[in-house]
Amino acid sequence: MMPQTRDLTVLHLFTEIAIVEHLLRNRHDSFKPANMTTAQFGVLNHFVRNKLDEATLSMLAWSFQDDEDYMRGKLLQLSELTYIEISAIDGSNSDLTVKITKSGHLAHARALEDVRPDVESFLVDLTSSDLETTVRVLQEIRRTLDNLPDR
Amino acid sequence: MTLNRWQDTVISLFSEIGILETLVKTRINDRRPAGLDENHFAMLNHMVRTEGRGETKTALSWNFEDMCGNVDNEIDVLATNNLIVIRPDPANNNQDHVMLTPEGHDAYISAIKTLSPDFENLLSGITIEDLDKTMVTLREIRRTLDNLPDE
Repeated sequence: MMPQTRDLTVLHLFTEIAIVEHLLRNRHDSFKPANMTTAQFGVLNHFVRNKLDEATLSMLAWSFQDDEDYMRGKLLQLSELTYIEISAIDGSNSDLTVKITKSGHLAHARALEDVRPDVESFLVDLTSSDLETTVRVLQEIRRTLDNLPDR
Repeated sequence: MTLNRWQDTVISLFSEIGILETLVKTRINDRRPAGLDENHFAMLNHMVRTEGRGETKTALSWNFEDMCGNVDNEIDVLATNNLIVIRPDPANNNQDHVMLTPEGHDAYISAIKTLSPDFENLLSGITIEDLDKTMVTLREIRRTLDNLPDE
């Protein structure tokens, strides 16, 4: 029995998402804007997009669905770049407080400017309305996925 | 420090793509539909989408932008489980040609059925027009990225 049209539509959508993510990640990693990999930029981006000054290692690991050791590695690298400050949390053996620094904000902005000409070149045929609709649809799907009981 | 509207839209778009990719990948790895992890599922998905024509290992590596032999390992696992078959390429005996088996196709369909309950509510509240626009936008970005010269 063939899958339902709805399932195939979702699958085609996720396939496009996976391919675009892969291509974007490879492109970003070859540029390394502001000297950051996609994974490192993603952490700063999380602070900026969510207007956060501070988070914890455990919250970040949950948000990115990373294990804490992997997230800790990313945070240590960002800390060495002085883009974040990390400090131990009283009473916790492993969790950390993470704060984005002024230099982290500047690096995020610089990375955006570094990639801007490239990004503009591959978005040139798309209207703002197309992009905004796409963002809205993806946000709706992401919220549904994010709120599934076993997330 | 605030983002202008263009930056905000583009960052939101790429962030949503990144988050969704992670959420779906994690879900597939948690569920392991038909015993497949996300890499094996992606390989079968690619083969079904290319309508069972089969490809050389080199072409598959190029399609998956794989430089580390991961595709070779995935192919070996899938072949061991009789989900794909590897034969000499008719056009070039020095190359291996990889084809989906009927068992591989069945495993793919079974995996979709396992994931189907997760898909059920994802598109509710999204109009067909918006979904179409999203697919067109993602495909356009993918095609442009796929055809950009390497940096």
